[in-house]
Amino acid sequence: MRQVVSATGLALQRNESVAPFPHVAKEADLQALSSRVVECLTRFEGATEWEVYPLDDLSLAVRALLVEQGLMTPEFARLSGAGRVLCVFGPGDASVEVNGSAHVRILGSRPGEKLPELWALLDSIDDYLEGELAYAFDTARGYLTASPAAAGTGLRAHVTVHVPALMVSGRLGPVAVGLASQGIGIVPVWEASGGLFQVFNKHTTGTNEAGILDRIGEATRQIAGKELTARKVLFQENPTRVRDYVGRALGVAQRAWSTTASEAVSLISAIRVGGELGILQPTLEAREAFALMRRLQPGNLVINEIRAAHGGLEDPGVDERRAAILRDTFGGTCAVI
Amino acid sequence: MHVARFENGTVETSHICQSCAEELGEGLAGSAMMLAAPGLLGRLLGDTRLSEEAESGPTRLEDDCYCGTCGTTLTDFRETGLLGCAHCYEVFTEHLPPAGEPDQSSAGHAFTAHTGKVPHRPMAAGREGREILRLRRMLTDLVDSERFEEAASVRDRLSELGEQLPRG
Repeated sequence: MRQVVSATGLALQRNESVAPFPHVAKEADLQALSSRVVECLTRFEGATEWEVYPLDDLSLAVRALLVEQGLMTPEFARLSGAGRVLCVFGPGDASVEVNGSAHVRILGSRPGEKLPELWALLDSIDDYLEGELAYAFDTARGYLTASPAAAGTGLRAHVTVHVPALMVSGRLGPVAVGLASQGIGIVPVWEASGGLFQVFNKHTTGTNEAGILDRIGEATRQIAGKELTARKVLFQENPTRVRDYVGRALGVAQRAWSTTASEAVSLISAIRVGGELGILQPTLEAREAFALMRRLQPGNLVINEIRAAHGGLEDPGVDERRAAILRDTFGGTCAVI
Repeated sequence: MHVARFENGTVETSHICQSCAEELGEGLAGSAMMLAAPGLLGRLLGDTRLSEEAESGPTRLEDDCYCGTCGTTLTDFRETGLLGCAHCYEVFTEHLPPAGEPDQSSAGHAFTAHTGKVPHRPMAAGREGREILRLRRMLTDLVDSERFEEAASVRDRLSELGEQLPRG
């Protein structure tokens, strides 16, 4: 399964019972709640463990970086206004959005398949916050949220899978239809560049948290098995086409001077599969490939590579830096004849 | 949001967003305006009326049911799919889908209740929870309008209900 699973993530929504939900709350209510949450979190595991960022203080590039790292949702990144705060735990192990779609949304993301470990951390943060917030809860409906469809456990789990063979062979559609009947959804990541998709639970009710994690884990195993089979079949049936596709991707990665994020993800995807099929050396693990894809996203390039906190995400220099990193990374990769 | 405007014997209709409607409402002191948005109408009537009826649960305003605690109307909920507070779940209960997801073993006729994690501390239930929410809203309004003496008494009442609030 590790050949297919790139990353895992969890999001847990909670609201306080005696405060209007954020979308109807007044600014004073938002600020009062965020102050209480921040004060509470800074007592969790020592005061130095949390970094607190008022949303209005974050540039577009920093917000993009946090979204790429799985520490902020795209919806939260689009918000503004006093009382909206992001709290980041440790070196990016988890984060808490305050006054986004819920009073608090606890987020966590990890490379590889780490759902149980991630849940253990988010569960402990949730328990800790409950000491400060009287959660809105109903014995029949579970944790209450602004959208009734998100009530219940309030838990969304997702696993990012790398399934280029299922995508190009047209078999991903039937797989998605089969999983939908089990309450599992599939959505593209980075516009499906390179065949990356997220598998997630469509329902937050009907089972407990462990049940949700089990369902996602089982769905991921099913998809991984089908993808590995599809890769072998594709190579057996069309070895020349596969070699040609992988070889061209390596050539562009080694020679291009300007590359978009979408193209870079596709190139890395092809090189990753080429390594696994024995076409290229050295091979690239799924987690390494995903880490490189994340590294080449605009927010990370602007903040951590170019080091321009307020730089433009679409500057030509970003594409040039991306191409330079690809040339450097794959300079020593070669085809196996 | 649909707006119908009656001026000089003619009717003009238009479709505008909520923030534009609120601006329009502020600038139309002498004109007759009918908004197909009872939520906005409720807010234009002022929070006082909403607060007075907070404990009475579901309330009807211009043929629209609304939450007396946060002011969210059934129309608001139908337009956005969002509820405004925990109390809305009681107010709009007949308009919400049943709890849980369809139980596959019963051909979708039964619904499973929440079986997941449960808070260690039960939420301020029913009447008390709504009272805290109502008093918090009132406190914010009183402080905003610099009616500090009344705000102090509301703050004291919240303290009696176990609410911990910063002084100042």
